[in-house]
Amino acid sequence: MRKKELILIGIILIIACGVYGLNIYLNRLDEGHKKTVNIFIEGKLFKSVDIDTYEEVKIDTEYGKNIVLIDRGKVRMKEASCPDNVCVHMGWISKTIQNIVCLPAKVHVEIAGKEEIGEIDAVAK
Amino acid sequence: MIHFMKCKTKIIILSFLFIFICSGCISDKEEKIYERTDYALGTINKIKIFDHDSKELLDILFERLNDIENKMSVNIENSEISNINNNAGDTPIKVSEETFKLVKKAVNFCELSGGAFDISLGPVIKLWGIGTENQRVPDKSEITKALQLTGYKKIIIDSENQSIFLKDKGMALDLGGIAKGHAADEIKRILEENNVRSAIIDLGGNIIAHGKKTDGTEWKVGIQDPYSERNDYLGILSVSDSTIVTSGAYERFFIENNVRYHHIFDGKTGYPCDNEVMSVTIVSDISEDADALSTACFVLGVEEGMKLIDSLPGTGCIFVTKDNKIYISNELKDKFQLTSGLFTVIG
Repeated sequence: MRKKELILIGIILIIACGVYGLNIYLNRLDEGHKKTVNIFIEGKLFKSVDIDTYEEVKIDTEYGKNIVLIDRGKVRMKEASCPDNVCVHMGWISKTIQNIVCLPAKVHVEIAGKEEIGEIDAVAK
Repeated sequence: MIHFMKCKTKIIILSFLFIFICSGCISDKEEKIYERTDYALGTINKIKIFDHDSKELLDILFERLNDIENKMSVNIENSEISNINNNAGDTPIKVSEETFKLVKKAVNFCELSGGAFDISLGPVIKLWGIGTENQRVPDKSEITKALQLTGYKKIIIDSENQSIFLKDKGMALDLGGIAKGHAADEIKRILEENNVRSAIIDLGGNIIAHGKKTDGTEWKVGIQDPYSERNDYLGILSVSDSTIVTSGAYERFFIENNVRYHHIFDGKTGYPCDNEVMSVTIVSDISEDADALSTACFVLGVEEGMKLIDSLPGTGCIFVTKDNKIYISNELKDKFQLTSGLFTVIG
């Protein structure tokens, strides 16, 4: 093989390693336990909030009024106009397997993100 | 101009480099999960499919749920069940094969459980209104009147005409204790028809662990801790191709004068069932059965309930009692792992 060909192969090899390495690096960044709180009304996504922030999301529809509170890594239903307030009594959730549901208001709150290892797949209730 | 001397060698080297570059471009293989959460059957439903990538399939599955709700819900004015109820004491109503089969099976469970599971408690359920804005503790006389309008033996099933007739005016069917189970079985059937081998379905807490996880291991299904208001579980079941249904006093209830009134009625008294059971979980391969049996076992209590389950092959149960004890049927002993220190497994 000629010198030029060796250099060409070498360059391609370096590019290949570079792309591969960059990809692994980017994936590592992604794994930074980024969890998102997804709030749904009647099955449709209403708002997505990074779980690591502090935010109060107010919902006011024909079905009812709710306030979802996201507080640095956990989320709860702060207030709800439904008669039994089961959703409020659920308290704080922080895992992807957990969710908060307010059936009368047709609101549900989920946590999306990389699931914890050893996490269960569902809860029978 | 590059002069290729040994073409084949160079082509091979370049091919490897090309593949190397491409593999760097493919992102970390994250498991593709196709899931959707939506409302149907009066509750929230989540379908998670692990080995199939069709949005159309999810559409079909949720359509099936809506279809079942339209046929069977007592809250929908012209559902088949509402039609039967509105014509009680008057005329038999011809229904679809699906509804007919389900009512027939439900009545079989009424008989099998000696009335602990009873689909004719519609008048009692409506009277108490648990879970609605009208929930209240009725007078004894109101309850007695409502009880007179119940009784699964007064459900007349006509196979020839595929019709259902309620003998007395004012009688009403309520399939709340078996409709979700039926829906779950339907979901499973459609998944199988579409060659799905790995899925988790959660219909308002009724779980179908379909097939196995994509890595070949069993599904891990938690059992709700009846004393925790959150999604906390007291133990884990390792299962595959199974359905898990829990009936509990903690699900739908209201509190009046410091007394908790929950939604599982004792057909003999017309009051929410008040025995030693806090929750019971049934594991089976047919969801309709598990659904009906979970209500039946709750009302029957640990001793009679365990006897009933032991008599049914392929079915297991886990009782949680008010004094924090757990009773497991033999079938499930090596599939269940207790995780909460607040309970004791008795046997």
